[in-house]
Amino acid sequence: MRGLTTPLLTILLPLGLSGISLPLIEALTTVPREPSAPPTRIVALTLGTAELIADLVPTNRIQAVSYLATKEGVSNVASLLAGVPSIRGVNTEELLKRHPDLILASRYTEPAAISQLRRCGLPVLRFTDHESFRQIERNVRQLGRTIEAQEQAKRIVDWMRDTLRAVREAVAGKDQSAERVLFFNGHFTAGQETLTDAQIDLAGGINLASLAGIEGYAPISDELVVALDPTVIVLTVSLRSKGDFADPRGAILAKSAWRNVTAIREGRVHLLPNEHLSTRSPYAVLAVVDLAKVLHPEVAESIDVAPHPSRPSSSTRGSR
Amino acid sequence: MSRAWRLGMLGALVAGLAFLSCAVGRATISVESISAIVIHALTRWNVGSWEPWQATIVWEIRLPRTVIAILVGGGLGLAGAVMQGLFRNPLADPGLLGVSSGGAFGAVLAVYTGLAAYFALAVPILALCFAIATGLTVYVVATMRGHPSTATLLLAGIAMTAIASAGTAALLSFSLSRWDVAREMIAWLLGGLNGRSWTDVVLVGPLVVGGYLYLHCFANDLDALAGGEEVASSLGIDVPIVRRNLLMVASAVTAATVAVSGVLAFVGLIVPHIIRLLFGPAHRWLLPGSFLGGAALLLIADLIARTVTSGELRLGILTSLLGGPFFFLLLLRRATD
Repeated sequence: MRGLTTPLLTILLPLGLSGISLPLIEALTTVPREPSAPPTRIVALTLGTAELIADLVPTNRIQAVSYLATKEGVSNVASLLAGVPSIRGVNTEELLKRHPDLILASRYTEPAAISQLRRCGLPVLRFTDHESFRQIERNVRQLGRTIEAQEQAKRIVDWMRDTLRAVREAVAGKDQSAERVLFFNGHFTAGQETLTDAQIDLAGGINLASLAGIEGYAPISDELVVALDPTVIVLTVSLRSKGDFADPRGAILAKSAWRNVTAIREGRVHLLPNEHLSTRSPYAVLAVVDLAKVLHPEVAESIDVAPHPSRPSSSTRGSR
Repeated sequence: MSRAWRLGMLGALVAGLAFLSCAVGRATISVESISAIVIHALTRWNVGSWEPWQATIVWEIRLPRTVIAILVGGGLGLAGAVMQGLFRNPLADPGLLGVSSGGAFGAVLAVYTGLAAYFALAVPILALCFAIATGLTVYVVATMRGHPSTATLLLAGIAMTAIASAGTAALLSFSLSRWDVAREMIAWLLGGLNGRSWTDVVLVGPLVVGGYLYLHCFANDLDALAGGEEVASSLGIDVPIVRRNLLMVASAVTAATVAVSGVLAFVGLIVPHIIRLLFGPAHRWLLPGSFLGGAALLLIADLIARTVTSGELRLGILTSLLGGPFFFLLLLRRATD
């Protein structure tokens, strides 16, 4: 009792017991379940997954969506999902009560919450990558297969490709290096391996953050912005900052440290629709259209956006 | 009322709170159904009816969460009582040797490296390993020149806490560009029991229960140590050995609690004080009282955390909100004394 053996055993024995029992408990308590075919009570936990599913199935197959998906100015499918119940965050009890047969989650959903949902026998489809158009297409096809809506998924992918082709043709031959673009959102910018980087590139511009070696979404200092001297600055309004910063464009133009930056001097600071630039759904192609229009205004009229397969009559908001 | 009765009543309070914890949640399930589900799970007797999804909620979500609240709160209360007895300082805390900060660093590292995304247990396991390693490092450093004084141990603990906290802050700052990662880190650092399962019970349970049984055997030694090291030595207690063993086991218990719940401030600090008022200073009563008191406090805090807002308040915020004013009160009382 007084030596070192007993306290060590007091610690190591329980640890050993836990170690032996963990795999057993994991196996006993995890109930893996495949989604029933085809799922008719689908829950989308995030905005991106709600936008994916809303275009693939009628809303009567959607059980609930993230509250963000029903907000105008944030969601591309707000009007489509107007009557669908909304949920905030991941509450397993609330979800179990709804008896969903498929739950859609993304990289942003807490892993612990997903583990719990799976332990409770709820089928979860989690999309972990959506920082390229190729990956978004893959996500659409995967979801199409899971819910047996392959044809509609193919139509959505074709629409994405047609839209990007229209932009590519319109900006072909333009001097890409002349449009030095900086994406700026509350001291953060988008560098290499981000969807924003791909969007700027496809729209016929150069992403300065990427050129500066910034990876992912990272803070950028005032000093670096001045040194990079962008010719165009694009902004978007994040949901949280709405109201607090009603005029982010005005705030940027009033920054005294940036007064000699070309984009500020020439007034080329553009506020783009949040729902296009922030989404990780097929609607992200619309941000490429928005960007092409502000980078190359002379070709704006010639960009012919194909009608969306789910909503042929819908129109898209442009930049301000 | 005798102390045994008081302890029994505290136990009954914990049992009542545990039942309430199983009964309250976002989904409405009748008390009859909850009782029937629990009885059926334990004995296979059918004493009522329920929907399968209700059984899942009770058995997979609420019950493990309740058991973890009891183990974590109890473990922290127990470790706090032992630390305060060992250091003869009412402001001593279970994380005194940097165990909590080390655990926090381990958990944040698991999230930062992406291990947590592939293996859900990576967070508690790494937290546990780092918490134990931190406590061990502090003890080894403090004892390098022989039997350490209380002040040396405290200072070594403070130094290690600072290093581990700096490591945590560094990882958090590296993650600013990946907000989903940073959000997960912050959520863990703020403490909470959301999403916990039977796996976590298995991880924390044996160490807390084993630790309690071991520490309780030293109740009389802790009483003697309260009179000072000389008094304890004169009573035949090998002070350095007893102190080393108790520190080791109390820190391991703290490490286990930090691993599954994140950093929950003040539970281990305030509970032993309240229990001392009810049971007196004798550790024979103080240790089980602190265990039950900690369990009750955490069950109450968790009930508030999951019902006060439409989302869920992080548990660490609540324990700090409860403990902060108490801490002030304690300091004021000491100043008056």
